[in-house]
Amino acid sequence: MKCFIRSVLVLTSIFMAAGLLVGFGTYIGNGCTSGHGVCGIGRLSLRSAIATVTFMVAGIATVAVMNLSGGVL
Amino acid sequence: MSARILSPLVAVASGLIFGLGLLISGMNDPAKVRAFLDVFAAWDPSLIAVMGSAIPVFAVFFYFGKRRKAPLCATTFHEPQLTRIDRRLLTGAVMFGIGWGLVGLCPGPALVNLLAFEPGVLIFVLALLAGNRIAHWVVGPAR
Repeated sequence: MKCFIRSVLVLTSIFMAAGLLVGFGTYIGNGCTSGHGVCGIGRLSLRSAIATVTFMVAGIATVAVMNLSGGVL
Repeated sequence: MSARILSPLVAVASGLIFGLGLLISGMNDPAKVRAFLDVFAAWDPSLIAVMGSAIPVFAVFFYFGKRRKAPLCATTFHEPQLTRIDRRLLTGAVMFGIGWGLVGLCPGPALVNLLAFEPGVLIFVLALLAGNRIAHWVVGPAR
């Protein structure tokens, strides 16, 4: 039971942290996969291309770290 | 039909098409996003195929739209004005990337998934709105 409660709390925290990061990040970054990735690159915006590469790298690194943490996440 | 009536209708149609696109392509599925970002393991390149198809479609419409003096269904164009590649942009992109990598959700897919009433998605969307407002109060809009 304690294990179950702990995993629920962990999952909740992860979703909350992810949401905060995405909400904050898209605000100050002025875009996301659709805004920079599709529309920005479609307009040939260098700013958007760089933003897209940056968040792709950040995402890939994050998943790599999550895997390295032994599948905990 | 005036832009005032047409504009919200176009917004609804646009949202429907976008949502359908996400659903059909499976981009609303966090597992598919995670598999794309998992380049060192079982890689699923679907996301790049979706983005790669969407970009030229947008580019074509954007090109023909820009040749007009005014939009078809609105009064003015709203083109992004920012051009600087600064710390703000890069920090935002990194933060977004981390949050995105953590659960494989970004704003569009999260909203599309809302009606599945999964607790994770609900928490994510609420936190997203909170993060947006915190950024607005703490940092403010770009100048």
